[in-house]
Amino acid sequence: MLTAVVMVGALVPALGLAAFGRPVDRLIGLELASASTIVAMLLFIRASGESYELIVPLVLVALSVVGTLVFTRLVGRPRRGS
Amino acid sequence: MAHDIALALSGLGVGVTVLSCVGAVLMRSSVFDRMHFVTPVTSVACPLVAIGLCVEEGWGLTAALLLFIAGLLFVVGPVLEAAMGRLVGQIEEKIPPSSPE
Repeated sequence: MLTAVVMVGALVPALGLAAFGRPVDRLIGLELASASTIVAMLLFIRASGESYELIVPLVLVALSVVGTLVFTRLVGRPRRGS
Repeated sequence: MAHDIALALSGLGVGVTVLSCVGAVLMRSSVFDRMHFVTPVTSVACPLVAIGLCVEEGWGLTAALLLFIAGLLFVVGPVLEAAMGRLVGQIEEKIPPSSPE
């Protein structure tokens, strides 16, 4: 449980990176926050003992991959009119 | 004994994650340098934590799902890094916008 709480502490700098700065830096922060959340979820689910909840980090892996790839396309796209 | 090994592996994984998150925030020189702080989380920390939890849990369906999640993140991590690298290269005009199409 202690490791899970420490993981939540690790999420703070990642979320800070995702909230401020240039779009590319924020995308890196989002990717970092997603990966850290998955690790934190594994620890929390082990602490809670409800193993059926492992479906949540499994779905989060899939969604974070698709989301990051979509954002890389959108951020890299030239702005309309430029 | 198994509990100690599980605790050590999980603690190591959490330590790697914390250091990566703090390092990514402190790294201000280049986006390329900052980008590399994601890989330790996907390729080292998550497998370490999953293996630690498997040692604690014992082998079974839960352990298989834990390893599958860690394996999936291990595989897709470099793919996302490659996509990020391509994006940064496009923004800094080091590669053409249409690359690699």
